[in-house]
Amino acid sequence: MSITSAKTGSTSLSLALENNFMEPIASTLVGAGGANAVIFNDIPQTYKHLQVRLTCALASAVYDADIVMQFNGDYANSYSKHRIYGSGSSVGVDYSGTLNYMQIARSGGAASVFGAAIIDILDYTNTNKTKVVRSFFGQDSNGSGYMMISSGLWNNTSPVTAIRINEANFTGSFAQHTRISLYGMKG
Amino acid sequence: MAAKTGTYTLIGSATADGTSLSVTFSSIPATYTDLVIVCAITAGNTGDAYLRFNGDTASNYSDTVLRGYGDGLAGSVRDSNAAGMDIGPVSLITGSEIGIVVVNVMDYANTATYKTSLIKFTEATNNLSTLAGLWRNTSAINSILFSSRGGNWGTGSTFKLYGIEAAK
Repeated sequence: MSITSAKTGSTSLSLALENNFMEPIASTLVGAGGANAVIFNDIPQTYKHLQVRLTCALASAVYDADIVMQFNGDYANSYSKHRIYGSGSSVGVDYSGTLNYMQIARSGGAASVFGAAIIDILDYTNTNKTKVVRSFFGQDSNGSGYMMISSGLWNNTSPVTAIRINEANFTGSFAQHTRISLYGMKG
Repeated sequence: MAAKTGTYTLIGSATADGTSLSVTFSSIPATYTDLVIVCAITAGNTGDAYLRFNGDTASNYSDTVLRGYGDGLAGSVRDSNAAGMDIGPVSLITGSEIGIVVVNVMDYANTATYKTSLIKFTEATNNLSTLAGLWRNTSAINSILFSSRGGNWGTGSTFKLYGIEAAK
């Protein structure tokens, strides 16, 4: 259901956008040398939620590789995920537990094609809740592609102060023109 | 890490009067990182809708779709070598319903990569669709056309274009 303002005719989303609910915190544009990972440290604790927006490909033409996220330098098996995805011809769903990362995206699927994702990290400063992440990811390569909606859990109640994003197996580095940006969302 | 002020900026908006098959945003500044278009669509279209960038009418668009229907069925389909990027089955919007389409055009001003868009279509009665769209062109996007494959945009349909600026 959409909520429409009787005064302006705006939908709830556009009303929120026009009330400056989101602020940029940091952004990385990968240069010619590539990058093994993108890390945001010292994240301000003054927002309600965080949003990461990314477009990415891997160097050396590594296509369709999993891109993952970890918090606060925790590389233990503290994560799990659920996802639903479409390949353009079929639909799949799955769950994985005791992971050492959360999958948030995939790399591009062909030359010049970059995968894109919008990731929300909810209530990231709350010390009474484990942390939930939702990702909206897609990549199309004109003949192949992948569309995914996923949820991830970091089974830890600590505030999120650092985010690391990299290829799942640490075998691929981000290609030039990969852009990963972090925003804070007001409550 | 200190946050900078700044947020979504409204670049343009349009409201359909029921007589137009298309809506175009032109002269889009290249000063933002991503574009977001929020569309609140009323009944009117008899065909599905699509978008085009920079007036490109050639078969340079494609999309991968993940969708679900109210009867419990989920599916995934693909369009390749299309003359426009699908944004959802707006013809399913009937009566007094409003369907919401949110289009995220990622890194739209870069001149090195093809352009990927993330699209979500929601219509409460029949369908939820998510789409990944590709425009096989490295040009910076400076105009966006929304059009229908049948029927005019319904009276009162709104289109709002925002720019998101990442931290510098």
